[in-house]
Amino acid sequence: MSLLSAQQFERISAAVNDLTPSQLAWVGGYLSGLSLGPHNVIPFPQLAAANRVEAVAQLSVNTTILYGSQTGNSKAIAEKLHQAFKASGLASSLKSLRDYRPQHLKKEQRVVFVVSTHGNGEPPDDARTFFQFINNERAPQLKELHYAVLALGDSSYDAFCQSGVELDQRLEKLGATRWLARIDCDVDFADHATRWREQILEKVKQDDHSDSSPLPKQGLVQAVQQATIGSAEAPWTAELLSATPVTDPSSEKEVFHFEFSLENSGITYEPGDILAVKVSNETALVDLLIQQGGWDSNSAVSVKGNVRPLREALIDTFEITNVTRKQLQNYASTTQQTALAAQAADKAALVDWLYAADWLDVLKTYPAELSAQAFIDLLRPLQAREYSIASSLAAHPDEVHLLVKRVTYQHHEREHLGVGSNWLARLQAGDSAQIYIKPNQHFKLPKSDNTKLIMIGAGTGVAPFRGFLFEREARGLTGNTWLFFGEQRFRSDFLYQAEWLELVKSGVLERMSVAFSRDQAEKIYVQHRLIEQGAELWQWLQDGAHLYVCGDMHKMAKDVHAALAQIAVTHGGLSDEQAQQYLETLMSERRYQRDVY
Amino acid sequence: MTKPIPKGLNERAINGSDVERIKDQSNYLRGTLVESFANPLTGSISADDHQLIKFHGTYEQDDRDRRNERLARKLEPAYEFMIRARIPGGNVTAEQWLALDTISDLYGNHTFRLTTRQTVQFHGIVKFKLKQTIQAMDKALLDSIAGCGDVNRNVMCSPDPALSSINAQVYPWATKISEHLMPKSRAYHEIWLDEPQGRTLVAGGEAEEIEPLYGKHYLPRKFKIGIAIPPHNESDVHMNDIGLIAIAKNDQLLGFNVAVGGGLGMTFGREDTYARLATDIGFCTPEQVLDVVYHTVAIQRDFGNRQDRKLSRFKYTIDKYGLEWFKQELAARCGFELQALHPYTFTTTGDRFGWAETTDKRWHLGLRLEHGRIQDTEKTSIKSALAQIAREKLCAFRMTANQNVFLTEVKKNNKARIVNILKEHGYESDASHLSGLRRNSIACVALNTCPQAMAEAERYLPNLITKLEPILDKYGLLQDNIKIRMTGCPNGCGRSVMAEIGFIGKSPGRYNLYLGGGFNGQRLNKLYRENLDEAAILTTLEPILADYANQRETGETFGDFILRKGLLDQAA
Repeated sequence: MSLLSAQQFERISAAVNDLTPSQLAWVGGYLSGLSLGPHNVIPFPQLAAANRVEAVAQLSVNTTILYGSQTGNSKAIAEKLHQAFKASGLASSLKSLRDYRPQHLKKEQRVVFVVSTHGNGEPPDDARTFFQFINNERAPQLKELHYAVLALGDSSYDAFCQSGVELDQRLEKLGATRWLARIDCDVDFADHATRWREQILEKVKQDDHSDSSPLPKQGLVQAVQQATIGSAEAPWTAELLSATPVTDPSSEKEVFHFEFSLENSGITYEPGDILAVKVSNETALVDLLIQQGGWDSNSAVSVKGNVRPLREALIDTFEITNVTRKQLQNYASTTQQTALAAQAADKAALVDWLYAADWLDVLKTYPAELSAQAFIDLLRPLQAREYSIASSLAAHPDEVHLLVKRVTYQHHEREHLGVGSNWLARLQAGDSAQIYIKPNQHFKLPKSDNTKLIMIGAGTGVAPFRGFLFEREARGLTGNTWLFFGEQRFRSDFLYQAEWLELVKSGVLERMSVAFSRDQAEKIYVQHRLIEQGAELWQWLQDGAHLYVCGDMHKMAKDVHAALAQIAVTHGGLSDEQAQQYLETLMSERRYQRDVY
Repeated sequence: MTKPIPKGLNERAINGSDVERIKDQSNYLRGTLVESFANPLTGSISADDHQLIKFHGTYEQDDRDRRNERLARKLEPAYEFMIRARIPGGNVTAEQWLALDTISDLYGNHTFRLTTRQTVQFHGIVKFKLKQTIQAMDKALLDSIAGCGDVNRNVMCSPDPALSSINAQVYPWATKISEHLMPKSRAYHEIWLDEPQGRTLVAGGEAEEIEPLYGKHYLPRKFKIGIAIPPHNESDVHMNDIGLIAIAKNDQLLGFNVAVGGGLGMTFGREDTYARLATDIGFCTPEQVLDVVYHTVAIQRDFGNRQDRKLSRFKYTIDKYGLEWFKQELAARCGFELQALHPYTFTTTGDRFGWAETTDKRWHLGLRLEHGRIQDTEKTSIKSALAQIAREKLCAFRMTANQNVFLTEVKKNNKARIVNILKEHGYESDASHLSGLRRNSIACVALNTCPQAMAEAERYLPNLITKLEPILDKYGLLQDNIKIRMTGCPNGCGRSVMAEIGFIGKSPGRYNLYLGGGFNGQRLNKLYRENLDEAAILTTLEPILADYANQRETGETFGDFILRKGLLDQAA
């Protein structure tokens, strides 16, 4: 007997009869969500209200013009083509390959490339990332894409127009349709480029006004609200698309930018939300711990009723890198170490010792006979690590990004590694991670797009503001934004510098103030910049600006708060008490939001 | 030919290049430099300021070794500035040398470099330190005005003090010419040295007042002047827009033969660009020389091509309108005609190394440097050695056009101390232990800092020579003076096209090979083979060197031999 009756099958067939492939994919997700229970799907009215299904009907297909330029020739040709499109009333958009997110390719219908070749057949510098992306074996299939390539080169080199040739062939291999034959231009490219431009325009006009157009014209469902959501209980297994260090090698720290795929997950988030990542302990530390305890890696231990090998359980189930006072007391009593018990009772004395101590430190300093099971029973479950999301779904569809500093510190004469950041740092593109979203109601963009934003972030605390600003860019908003950023050194630690510069250039980011603490004799931090520009900052607050602070709770957030109070005193004429009251009011009105840790 | 029409001093060129627009709008080289340097978000400056900053003697560059890595890290390129001092004739005092040394440590990358135009440049200065650098130079009585840009550049002069009293008579002219042709705008002093702001643009007539020679738009392109004292031609005098050849009789300077229209830069893929040696056109007295250079510059200012910067050097103006036209125009402007040329002979473009005595009984040491780079390495510490020598005030310093240095004005009893200091720092005071090829080598900076470079030069030529030396040894040529030069692009800073063996980079690891330049700097070489990698360079050169060893005539230089054998007839 089949799973469905003939009538059921007929009803389903009729229901999906007129759906587009994208809609069908959405329905697939919806149904599988439904199979997990009705709470797993969003009811339709809410779904519609969420305005996530955007059926965009287009009269003429947009042509994306992309260029890779070293000396400016490709750029000039691309710009001319773009102007010609405009002059003919045809839709086109122009971007440098440096600024183009290659992940968008799979959503494109028509792309025209102008790309030059340099050195021994290499693409221009600004196209390198793009070429790496498409040449990667995991590059997406590009079935929808129709493309044309104009290659520039110098025939006195062996690898004449190599980049253009490579691109042309690679796109075909990825399933894209060559829409116009490639033209290879030598140093005297002007005439070829003009002819090519005319050909392109001719072809676009032809295709878009005839029924035999090879391109679908309308009704592309651009974004689909999916039905199931990753959760702590059922995290989503996300592929890591890329892991990039974003500090210079000369930096004293290592900060990484991670991009995870949410494709087909149905997961959504808003800028300001938190991503939780399930992590595991470093195997080297686990092995040292087992060795120190005198246990056997394979000895069976009972974990919530399941029997597991000790090593496995220590790797993925328990916290071993931090120890609480309570745990230490339990350890002392279990191992009958009266001296330790007495010590553990003295809270003040223990604070320093326990700060950043792990279980290896405990076992080494206070060795005792203890069974593997007894040890396991002392431990707490391993928590998912939480990070402020650094991306915006509107700008980075199907992706979620993190900015994470790799934590290492010397303690008890050993290097200690932060669990989450080091686990992430060990991942490579193509690996996967279990993730889910934790909505953060206390760190949200204002309801009105016209409200001014003052964003203050030090170090990786700048992450959510990347999400904020890209979200605003995607919504077509400019101005009304002021970002304060602090780090150690301009040259090595200016996290996301190239992106901020682009956002400043496009006007999405109206002002940016930076403080680099170690670039001069005296230490300068974000709070100093706040005070320096206190008058204007106060004016922004009078204009209704919302304040956001993200980063270290103990130092940065405290100092920033004090600086804000000082500004209210100096520029607002408030008393100290009134200033504190003022900030309290801002907080209660949700105009002063913090994401500090 | 239609009559050439001059551009009016304050008139913007019709269809001028974008750089013409930038100069026009710059308020005499100010542009938005102050704003650009105050922007804390980037180590770069605006595109327009990029052009203007050159007139202040500095270029924006970036560390190209790190460019892609930094882009991948979402960091802007490692922008940094190269700044080049204006040192006519290449002379500095011990105090100034020490100041230069300190600047490189405080603000630069702990090295500095003697250039092929007898001056000093620093690399690796970040935007936020440039002002301090210029102020430190100013304290040492040095400036970088017109170090680059569309103006007259550093004026060169044959450096060898052994050329007796003539040298002392000729030298001051390098400085006089440099100062006579300096831009007069106070932009440099206002922006870098905090001089109170002077007059800004007002309507009418101010161009003549603020920049009497250059006007609002300066020159169409860079302009170079050099002086040679025969029989030495260290500065390759004919590669200049104006070459001056000192003519003397009985130790008395009579005047200068004037040569015009030299220039080595060309552009790959542009058949209408070419290297050209200056043409000797006549003789002038010392009293006339300032007028001659001034009006020559003015003629180029008025008639040079301002539409296409690839064709805007003076050599193209000369070739477009003809030498006769130029001579007439010059005579009309000067109010006198040049006299007939005096005969002279050049024998070498190389530097003389080792100790020699001058007529005033003082000594000087010709010191060979590896492509002018003043740096301490694991093996030798020439930077520390020269700083120590300067600290003890044992000599003055004179940069040569071959990227070497003369330690001058040394008292006899200080010679041993200098030799000792050099020895303590692992450095030989003469170059006789080096091959003739290495002694006569020049390489430009190229990668990793020069934005023009398509291939390595300074970082590669020493290694290539190491690979050529066994071949030279095999054919008994190790001590022969053969002029080898390498540049990372065809712009010509390293004067590759005047070498007997010249290389111009085409792409990483690939070079065009040029052969047959004159040893005395009076003949350009020719393209022999294209796109050679190292293996091909070695296999191409070996049989030619072997033939040279076996078939040369007495005293025949390598370049002359190439020519006689007709090797260039089968060129690429």
